[in-house]
Amino acid sequence: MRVGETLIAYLWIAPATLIIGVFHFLPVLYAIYISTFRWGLVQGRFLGLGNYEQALADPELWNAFLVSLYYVVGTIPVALTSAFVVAYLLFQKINFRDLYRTLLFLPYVTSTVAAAMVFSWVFHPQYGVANYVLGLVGIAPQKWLLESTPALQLLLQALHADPGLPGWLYGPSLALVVVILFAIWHGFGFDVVIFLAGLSNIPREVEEAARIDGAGRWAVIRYVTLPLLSPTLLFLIVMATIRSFQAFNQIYVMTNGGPLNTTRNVVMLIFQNFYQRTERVGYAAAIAMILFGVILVITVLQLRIGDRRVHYG
Amino acid sequence: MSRQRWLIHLVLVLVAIVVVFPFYWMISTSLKTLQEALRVPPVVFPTMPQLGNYPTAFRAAPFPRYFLNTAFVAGLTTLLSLLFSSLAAFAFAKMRFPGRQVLFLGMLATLMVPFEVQLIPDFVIIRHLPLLGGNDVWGNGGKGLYDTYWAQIVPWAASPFGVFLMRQFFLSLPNDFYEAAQLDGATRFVFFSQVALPLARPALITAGLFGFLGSWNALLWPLVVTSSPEVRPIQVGLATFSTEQGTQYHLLMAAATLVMLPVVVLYLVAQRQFTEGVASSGLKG
Repeated sequence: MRVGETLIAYLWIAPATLIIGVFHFLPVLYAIYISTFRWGLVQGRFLGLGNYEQALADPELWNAFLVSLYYVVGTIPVALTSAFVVAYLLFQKINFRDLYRTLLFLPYVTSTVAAAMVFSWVFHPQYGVANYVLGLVGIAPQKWLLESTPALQLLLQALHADPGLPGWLYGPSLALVVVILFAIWHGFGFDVVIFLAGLSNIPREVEEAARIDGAGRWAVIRYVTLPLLSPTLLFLIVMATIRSFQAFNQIYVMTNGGPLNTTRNVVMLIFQNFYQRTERVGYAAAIAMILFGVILVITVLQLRIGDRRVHYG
Repeated sequence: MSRQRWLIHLVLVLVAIVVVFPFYWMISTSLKTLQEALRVPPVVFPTMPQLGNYPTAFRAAPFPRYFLNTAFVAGLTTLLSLLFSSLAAFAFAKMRFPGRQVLFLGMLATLMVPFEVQLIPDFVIIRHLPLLGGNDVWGNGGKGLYDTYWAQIVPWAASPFGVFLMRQFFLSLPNDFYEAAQLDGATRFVFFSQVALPLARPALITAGLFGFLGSWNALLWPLVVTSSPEVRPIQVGLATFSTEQGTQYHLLMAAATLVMLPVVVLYLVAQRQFTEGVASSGLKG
């Protein structure tokens, strides 16, 4: 190794290393630092773990995590099941396959801000086409994004069967359900494309061998296709969980965290503390670190559990 | 066609209709008068397409400015990111130097950090960059790069994901190739720009498309780090417009259509690269 070569190599990596170091790597350490101070427009008093204690004792944070949890549980099973079915159908050497794929992937590339505006309009409480469609089947108009009552409770009330449970047991508010529908719609094409790639990696011979051995269509899907697809599935679950926890744009546009904070997830809470109440920068940084920890733990758990159940190859 | 095929098409057509419907409804509303847009039951086809809604929406806010801002920011961010990322990737793949492993792993580690963690420190860093925007050597006194184009460009002018993707590619180039070129007297940079980069075109296109898409659709960072319409990008402009003109639904939908259009066109032109890029990397830039 010559000194000259080393110097040249450092020159080549300098721009990227500097940018990634200053704006991606060091900020993690800096965020920890900020989170231990009272920090408004300027740096204030050292608080140690004070911001963390305050955050963990704050019902706002727990509510925000509950919203994120509803969001994850509301999106992933529905999105992945339907995306798998569609990908499986598309994979059957069907005509117009490329056309279908093009259309289904379209939402994923469109701006979340613009698309969220369209959803707000479709689900408008007075003029929305969603209420019109409900009206056709005899259901009363809904307030959708303005509705803080849980969707399940509304349903039970309509059936005169509301048992009067504690609030959180009813699940997401109707407003959050609309946000969840948006998330499923927007990410659907992504899931389908990944499933298609996973399906094309399965050797045809394996499925054919199972079929020759007398396995029916469902048995092949259940015992051959799905197990061989499990690495793809694990990847999609991990990605979707991270994406769900980080959802911001559509919530900002559709509800800004309302009604009654039923759509305010952790990112929205960070944004409000940091941006809309500027005196709470240190506090917002502490919440961001807590979110980081939670995402990290969940991801590691998913990969751990997944590794035990996933069949590689 | 067999009955089963028909059934498959039936399911797929229904799904496609649900997925595409919001786009149809957006365009349909954008071509109505306000009264027609508000009519119950809803009007499916505009009776007299109001193409004039588009120029009206365009003038109702500084949209031309917003578009220019985004085109400049997204374009320059993508170019710089491709350049800096591929330079670093090439060095990580083909050169030997102390600290190579540590630096590369450090870059990869940042991929696991959610952006919300970087948001606040990045904001503080942008405001306190020394000697910029009226700041002194210690980064105080001015507002740094706050409310400038550069605040939206610099933090994304190199991407850990891009470095990773390109490095994988350069690793697959045979070393003999590189050594032979050096023996022939070609400098590293000539080899890089004349041989390695052209070969890496597919990876460059993938990284570039997703970088551009991420930059074009970004909201949270520009919202926080800018305040004046002169530098704000289209997504922030559209969100502001949506809050201010909350009841002009025909104009809102016209504006939403205009904002979607460039990316949709880009997608339709390069859709194979998009879907293959997603399938091979599975990551959003």
